[in-house]
Amino acid sequence: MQLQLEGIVKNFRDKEVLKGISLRLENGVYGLLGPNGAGKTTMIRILADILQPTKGRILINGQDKNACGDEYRAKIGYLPQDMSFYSDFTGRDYLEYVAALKGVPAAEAREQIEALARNVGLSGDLHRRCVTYSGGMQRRLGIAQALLDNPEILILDEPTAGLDPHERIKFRNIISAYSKDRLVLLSTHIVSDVDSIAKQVMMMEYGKVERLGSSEEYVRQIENCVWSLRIPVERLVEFQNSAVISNVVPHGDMMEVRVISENKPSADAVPVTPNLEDAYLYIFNYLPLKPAA
Amino acid sequence: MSLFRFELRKLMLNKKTLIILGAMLILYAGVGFGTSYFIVGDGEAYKTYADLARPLAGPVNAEYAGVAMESYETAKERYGNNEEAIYYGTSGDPVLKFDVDYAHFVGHVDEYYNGAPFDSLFAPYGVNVLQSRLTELEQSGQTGGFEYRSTRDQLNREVALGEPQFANTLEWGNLFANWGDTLTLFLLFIPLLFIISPVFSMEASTGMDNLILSSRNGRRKIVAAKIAAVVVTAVAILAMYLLATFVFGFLSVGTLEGANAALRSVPDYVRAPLGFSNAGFTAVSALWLLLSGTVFALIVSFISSRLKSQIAVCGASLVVLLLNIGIAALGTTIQNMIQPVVDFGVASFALVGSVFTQYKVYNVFGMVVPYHVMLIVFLVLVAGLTSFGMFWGQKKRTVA
Repeated sequence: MQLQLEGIVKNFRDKEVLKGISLRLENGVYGLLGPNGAGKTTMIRILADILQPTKGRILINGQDKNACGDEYRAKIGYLPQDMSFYSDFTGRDYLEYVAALKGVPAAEAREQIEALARNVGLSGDLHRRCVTYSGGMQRRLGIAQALLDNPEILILDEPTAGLDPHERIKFRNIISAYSKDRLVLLSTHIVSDVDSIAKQVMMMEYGKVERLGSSEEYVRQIENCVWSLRIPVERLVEFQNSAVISNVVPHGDMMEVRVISENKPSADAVPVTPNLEDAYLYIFNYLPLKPAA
Repeated sequence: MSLFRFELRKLMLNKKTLIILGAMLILYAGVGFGTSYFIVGDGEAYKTYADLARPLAGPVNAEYAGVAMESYETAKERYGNNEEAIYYGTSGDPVLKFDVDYAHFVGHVDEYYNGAPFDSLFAPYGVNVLQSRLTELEQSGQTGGFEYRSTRDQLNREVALGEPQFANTLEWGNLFANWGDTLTLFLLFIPLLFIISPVFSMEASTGMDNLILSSRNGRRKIVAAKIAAVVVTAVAILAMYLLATFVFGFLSVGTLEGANAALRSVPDYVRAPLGFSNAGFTAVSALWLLLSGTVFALIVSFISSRLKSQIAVCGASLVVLLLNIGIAALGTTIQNMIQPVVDFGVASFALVGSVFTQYKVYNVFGMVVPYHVMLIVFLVLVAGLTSFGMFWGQKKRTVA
C-alpha cells in the first residue's frame, strides 16, 4: 500500500490552510503532530475523502483517488475527531450501520462486530444505547467502527482523547497489531501515543509538513537540550514564562522541572535523556515555521 | 441489515416517530368520523336525509324542485344569503338541509346548460354557452385555433357525460373534501413535511456525515436508500390518512350509499370532466394523493439535502407548500400574472379538489392537454430532478 500526496493545497475562502503538502506514505504507523490550527484535521479530512483539495492530488498505489471512485473509500477506515451517534442506536446498531455503509455482508459484519467488540472491550455493552456510553466507551466504539471491514488505510483523528491510561495502552496494542500490513495515520496531541507505535512522525505547522522522521531521529536532534533542575514553588510561575517546561514534579517545597533549552538554564541544571515530547516542544518553540508575511 | 432498513428506521421506525404517527392516526380517525357524523346531525338525521334522497335519485324532479326552492328561500330568510351560514344553519335539520341541497342541485343542472353569472369569460361553462362560443368562432373562421379545439373538446365531453343526476352523496362529498381541501395541507402535508425533513439534514446536525461520506456506500447507495425510505414513509403516512378518513368517515353512518352514483352528483365535482363513479374517483383520488404526496416528500428531501438544520428545512418546505396561499393573498391580478406558478404549486397539484373539479386544459404546441396530464408530467419531472439533485449533492458534499 502506498499513498502519495502531491502538492495538496486547501483554501477556505482566502485563507490557505494547507500549503502544498507532498508526502509518500507506506505501510506502518505514521504519527501526525502539530499545534491547534496547524491543518492536521483538514489534511485528514482530505485523505478521508470528505473534503476536496483546492489543488493537488492523492495517488493510491499510483492511481489518482478520484479515478478510483467508491473503491478508494472502501480502503479507508476513519475515526473522526468528534464522534456522533443517533440517539436511539445501540452500540450494535451503530456498528451494523457502519458495516452497511462499508458494504460488508450482514453475516460477515456480525462476525467482525463480535471480534472487534471483544478487542475494544465492549462485548457486554453492545445492547446499550451509544448515547449512554462514557466518553471512553464511545471512543472505543469509534475505533471499532474504523476497523470494520479491515481497511487498508486507517485514519485516526485524536483516537485516544477521553481514554483512560489502561484503555490507551490497549488501543496502542490494537493499532500495533493491526498495522503490520496496513497504513495507519494517527493524528493526536498525546505525543506518547505516537512515540510508542509510530514508525514515522510528521510535524505539521502553518499548513505544512516540514519534518518527517522516526522518533529516534527527532530525539537525536535535541540531545543536550533537555535539562532537569529544582526551583522553589514560588519561582515556578515566573520561570515558566521565560523557559519551555515539559514536566514538573513536586519534591517537598521544591519543584523538579524538566526544561527544554539550547543553553544550560541554570548552574545546577543537569542534562537528562530526551524523549519525543521534548522534541515536539523544542521544534514548536525553537524552530517554528513562520507563515509567509 | 441493509442501508434501506436503517434509513427507514431513522426516518419512521423509531419510538419517537411511531408515537407521533399513533397520535396522527387518532387525529385522522377523529377527522374522518367527526366531519362525517356532523354533516346532518346524528345517525338518525342522516337516515332521514337518505330516505328523502333515495326516491329522487336521477334527473331533476320538477315537482320537488319547486318545493325545494321554497324551502331554500325559507333557509335564506332564517340564516341570510351567506351559503356558509345556510350550510351550518341547516346541518341540524336534515329535511331543510335536503331541500337546500336539492335546490342547489337544480341550480347546477341549469348551469350545465347555461353557465353561471360568475363564470370567467376565459373559462366558459354550460352546453349552450359553449355551443354559442363555437358558433361565434366558426362564423369568424377561427376553426383551426386552440380555443376552438379546446371548446369543442369541452362541449363534446359535457354532452357525453350528460346533465348532473341527483344522488345522496353526502358522505362521498365529505370524503373528497377531506382528501382535497386546503385543510388537507395542514392535516397531512405539514406532518409529512416534519417527519421527512431530517432525512439528510440530520447527518449534518449529528455529525454522522463524517462517517457516511468517508464510506464506500456513503455517496451513492445511501442516497438510493434514503429516497426509498422517504417514499415508503410518505406512502405509509398518506395511506394511513386515506384509510383512517375513509374507514372512520363511513363507519359513522354505516353505509357506502352513493358509491355507484356519478362523481358529478357530488356538488363540488358537478363540473368535473370525468365519468367516474364515486367509488372509482375514490381510487383515483387516493392514487393522486399518494403520487403528489410522495413527490412533495421528495421535494422536502431535496431541501433537506441542501440545508444543515431541520428547522431551516421545515421553514423552506413550508414556504414551498404554502406558496399558493401566499400568492392568493396578493390578489387576483397578481395571481393571474403568475398563473403557471399557482397551477403547478404544491397546494394546487397536491389536492384533488384543485385538479379535477373543472375542465382545464393547456396549449402545448397547439395540442389540447388536460391539466391533470400536465401535472402528471410535471410531477414525474420534479421527482426525477429532485432525485438527481440529491445524488449530485451527495457526490459533491464535503465536511468543512
